[in-house]
Amino acid sequence: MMNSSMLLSITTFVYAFVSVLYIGAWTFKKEFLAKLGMAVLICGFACNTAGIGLRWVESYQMGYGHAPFSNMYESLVFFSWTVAALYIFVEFKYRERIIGVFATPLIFLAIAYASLSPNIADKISPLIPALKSNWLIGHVITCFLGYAGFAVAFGFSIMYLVRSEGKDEKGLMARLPSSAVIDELTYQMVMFGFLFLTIGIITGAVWANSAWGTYWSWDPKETWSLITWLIYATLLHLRMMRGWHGKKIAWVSILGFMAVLFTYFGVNLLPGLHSYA
Amino acid sequence: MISISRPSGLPGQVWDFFVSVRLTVATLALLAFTSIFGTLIPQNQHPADYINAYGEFFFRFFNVFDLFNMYNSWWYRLLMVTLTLNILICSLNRLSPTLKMVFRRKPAFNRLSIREEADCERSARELRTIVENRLSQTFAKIHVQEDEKGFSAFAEKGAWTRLGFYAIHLSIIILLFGALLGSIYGIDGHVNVPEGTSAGTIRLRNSGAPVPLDFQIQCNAFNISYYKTGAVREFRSSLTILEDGKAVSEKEIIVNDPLKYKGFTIYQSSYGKLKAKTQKLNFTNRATGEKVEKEISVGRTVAFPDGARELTLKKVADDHTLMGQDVGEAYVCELKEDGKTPMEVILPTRFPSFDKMRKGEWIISVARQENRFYTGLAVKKDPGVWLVYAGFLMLIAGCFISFFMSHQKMVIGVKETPTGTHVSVSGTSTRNRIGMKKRVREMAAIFNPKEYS
Repeated sequence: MMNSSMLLSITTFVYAFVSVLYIGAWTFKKEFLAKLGMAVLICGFACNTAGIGLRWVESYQMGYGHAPFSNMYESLVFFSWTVAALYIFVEFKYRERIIGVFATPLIFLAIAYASLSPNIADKISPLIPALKSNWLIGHVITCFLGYAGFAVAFGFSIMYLVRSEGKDEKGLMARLPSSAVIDELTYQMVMFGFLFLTIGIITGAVWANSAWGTYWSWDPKETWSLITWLIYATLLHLRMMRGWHGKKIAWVSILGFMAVLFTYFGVNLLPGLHSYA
Repeated sequence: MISISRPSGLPGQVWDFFVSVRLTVATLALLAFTSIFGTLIPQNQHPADYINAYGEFFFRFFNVFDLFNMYNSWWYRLLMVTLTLNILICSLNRLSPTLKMVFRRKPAFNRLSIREEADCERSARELRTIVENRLSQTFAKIHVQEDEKGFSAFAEKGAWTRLGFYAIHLSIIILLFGALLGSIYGIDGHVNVPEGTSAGTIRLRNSGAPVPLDFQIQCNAFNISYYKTGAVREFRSSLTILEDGKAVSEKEIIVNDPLKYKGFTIYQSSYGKLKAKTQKLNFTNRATGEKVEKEISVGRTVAFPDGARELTLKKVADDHTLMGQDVGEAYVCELKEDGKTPMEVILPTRFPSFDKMRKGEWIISVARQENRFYTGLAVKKDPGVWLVYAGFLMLIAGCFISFFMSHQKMVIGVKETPTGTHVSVSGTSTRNRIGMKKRVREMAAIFNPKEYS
């Protein structure tokens, strides 16, 4: 009998294969590998979606009945899902294939960490009273769309730096989109991430107010999400008002993503209200 | 037209300071950087805990900079005030040009920054209908101006999206103002109400000062329900609001579902047990099924019914963890038997057969007893919260408008030449210049398909 854990393990391997295909497409200059990569990515995404859906059903069968967004395992699986969804959208919208080299490994790494890390339990457990709210789904989805935007922006920033190092115009670098296009893509992804992080922080604040009567309590996760928001707000001002472009923006975007990672993982080392996820 | 501009003299210098985007960047970056400290140093703890953790020197050092309550410190507030003034002055500074751009009556036919040129064989008259048709596909407002050599067409859309800037920046001011209002006029209190009693006074969370309410909160019952694993499913308090002894409101509250009354919101926040002085244990003989009840209290020792062993109750743990599972309340005891080393015995209150696993002659369990609880309620009032929420909505709307919509303009100039016409296509957009470049090229390709194919 197929269960969600199995489906999600399969997803992990499919995503690994996708990364390999994109890297192959880039290094061997084979367009069809990238096309195949996208086809496989869509299959992996379908599998990922089914896995999350089935896990939701299983939680009802176990009598808990909650959305699969309640612990680190579930959030990492969902993180992969949002990054995959966003990347599929970006490739179709901007018609650039090879950029998947710098985005698909992130999709694989998140779900691989969820599946393989011994510290992350994939057990479905009941929801603690504080998480029982209709805000859970909206808050998690918006936060993770934000994280996904910043993750893809991070991938593109790395690509920008790699591209700008390449002096040889015939080599690997020349197969990447032009610096101007990568720069614009990074900026678009940051704006997407910023909008959703904003909504994520706000839904969290409204939720906190309905559960505890305080929309802001300077809990470490809240504060770190604000730090992340401030870093990307700085980036947007530098870009729009001070004319920063290219390498400088790429570095700020990388710094911003470090803050995202700390908000996501690092904060769990500190005490606070979000200690469950 | 409203016009607010730089004043002269000293106010002008102050204006210059607050109008700069460098200041914005510096303030945002400083807020981001300094906020980190408050997440590494636990906030609002007892001074003794800090001295313990950091030593005398660092305690004084951190204390000088208010790092133990940094988000309320003067310097953190100063950063917020700076940001607010910065936003205000910048908003005023660009108000007049923005309004001109949004509500402009007369079109400007000057060429825009993204340009393409094309030579065309057709006449200006022919092109005019083509240009008007093409522009009307994307743009709502089109103006055409004829001159002796040809014509110019101006088209734009989304001029109003420039107001997205105001939505974002004013929303920040509104929500900071709402937060300020809440911190001045808000009430943040707490009260413990034992089951079956009522309370009419709360204590403030910060100072501990009592605040009388003009109503009474009665706790009819408090219940905890559990999952099969022993983890908590729900905390539930049945509350009645009394005024002059009469019930005026009634509700069962749970963690995410508070009770609202007269501007106050009452939240399920904590709970506790009104401890009975003595607890009862059941001793059941495994072989005969004989059952004996014995009274015990923390620190006391009781003899087994057969007198051969004795049990000491070390403590009653509220949240005990057994093999990684939270089993809730458990009695931690020590079992002494002649000739053997003392052994720890855990008796989870809700799992009376747990002790069977010890395989002892007597199975010990905590006797079922009626516990009385008190419910811990957070009682809050925040008159600024609606402003904060209004700020939230404006912020989301503003980000959406500024990031995903744009003010786009296109100007097409057509001049007759001896061989036909010369067309210049130019455009500009507040966002996505690459997309605009593409559109300008596509437009130019209509006039000279060969060159732009």
